[in-house]
Amino acid sequence: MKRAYADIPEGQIHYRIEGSGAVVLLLHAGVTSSLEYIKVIPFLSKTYCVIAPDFLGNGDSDSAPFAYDIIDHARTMIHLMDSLGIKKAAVVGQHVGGKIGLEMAITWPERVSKLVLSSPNYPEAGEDKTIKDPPNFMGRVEIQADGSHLMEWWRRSALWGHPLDITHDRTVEYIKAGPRGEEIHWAGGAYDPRPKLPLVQCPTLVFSATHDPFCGMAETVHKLIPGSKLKIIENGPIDIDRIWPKEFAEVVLNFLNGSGA
Amino acid sequence: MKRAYADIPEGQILYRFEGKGEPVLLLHAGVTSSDEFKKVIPFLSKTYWAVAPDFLGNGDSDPAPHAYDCLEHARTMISFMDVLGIKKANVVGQHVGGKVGVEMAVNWPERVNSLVLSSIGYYESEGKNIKDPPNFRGRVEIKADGSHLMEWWQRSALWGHPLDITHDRAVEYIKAGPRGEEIHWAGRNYDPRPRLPLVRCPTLVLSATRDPFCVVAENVHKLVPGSRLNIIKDGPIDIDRVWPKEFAEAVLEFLNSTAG
Repeated sequence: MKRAYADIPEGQIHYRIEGSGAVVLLLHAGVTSSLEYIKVIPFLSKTYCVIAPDFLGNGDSDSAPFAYDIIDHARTMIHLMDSLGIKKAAVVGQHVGGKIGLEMAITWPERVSKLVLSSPNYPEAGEDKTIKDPPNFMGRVEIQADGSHLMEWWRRSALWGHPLDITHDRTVEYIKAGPRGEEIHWAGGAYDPRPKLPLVQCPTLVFSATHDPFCGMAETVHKLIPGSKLKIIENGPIDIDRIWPKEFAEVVLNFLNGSGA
Repeated sequence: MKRAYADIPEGQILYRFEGKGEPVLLLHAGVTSSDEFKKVIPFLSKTYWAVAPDFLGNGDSDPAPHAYDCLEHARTMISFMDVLGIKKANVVGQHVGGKVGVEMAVNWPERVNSLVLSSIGYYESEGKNIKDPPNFRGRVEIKADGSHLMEWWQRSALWGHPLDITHDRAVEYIKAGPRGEEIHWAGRNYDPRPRLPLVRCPTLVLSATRDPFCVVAENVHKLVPGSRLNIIKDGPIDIDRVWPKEFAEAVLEFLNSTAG
């Protein structure tokens, strides 16, 4: 697996790359990076050219010029494909990455061959919300003279009870993203995919894992996308691509290989 | 300024670059990265091709296969120059980066056009001249309560820098991870004194009076034949981050005087 930079009009995009063949673009979740796919990529790269970019403002990419929304990020991904000479890709997106993939599929349908939405979600109003965010999960974190901002980012990373190495990796991603890091979470929170889902024309897999907080929304998302498939991984964790990379990769490969690739 | 990766036999080296012309290779200090030169590069890139790599195990480069010494890091820099097609460079090294630069100049004299040694140090076994801060260089393990982050913060905050620089340094410690201190150990285990008389290229010994290694700058200068000495009065440690303009001017004055 190699790392590289691509120059797009908005700045430099850092990406990880491995394998050859048809292109699979792996889009990460909020305030993480392409690092979340390092254990998934080796499974996919046996038969595909796998490319996992960092969104602007996350990982090792440049900062976004301002707080980007979902369509802004989707446009940067099309620019990345332009820069790398990729005409069409299968797009796999985790959480907010799935929303960005969705905008790519709707706005640039000629560029997206297939779509995988991993634990997609939508904003809920009212008191009967099925999703309860952890306390102070998405507020801006300022750099403090006593260094306590580092511990705030640690706290946010440790919320999910992951193994220590994964909690540490997630913390490093928060720290690299810095005070502006949460902008991508805000972009995801402000975006309601439901009106857009019926517009998806490409083969689509909606999948989730039962321990992901968004799992309860997967069926609604699935029903809104014409002809989509649904797969729920029993007992699968949040951040499934990091924790259960083999299972994640198998679901993606079955879909990519199985539906007329 | 752009970032890119170069593939060398040991892995991938991240580097920042800007400008064109004669290459100036900027080598960072221990457990930092090319980020330390980001305010220096715009001064140099007006007339030079400024190239600042991250050593293996630091910044965004791959980890080293094992704990590298200064000679091994020097070899990676030669491999890096090979990949970029750089035959000969002006090498500017800060702290341990200067020691790596010395090894480049001594072992591959045909690849080093000139050398700037910025506050390179050595430790005398008796009557130790440099006092390290307490627990400065021990390995830091990842802890379940996240307290390793505060240990790295504390190491970064030792120098009383402005908050943004302390934060940038802490990020570099955190990115380098538990193995990060290996490069400090490499620097500490390396005594440049027997090597300095072997340097043949034009050399500037540069320091700043508030850098702990300033006390040995004159000795370093005396040991490098024909070298120049420039001590920046009241200049801080990490001068390239804190006083980038003064640092760049000292380097440019030297490079321009040796050109042609």
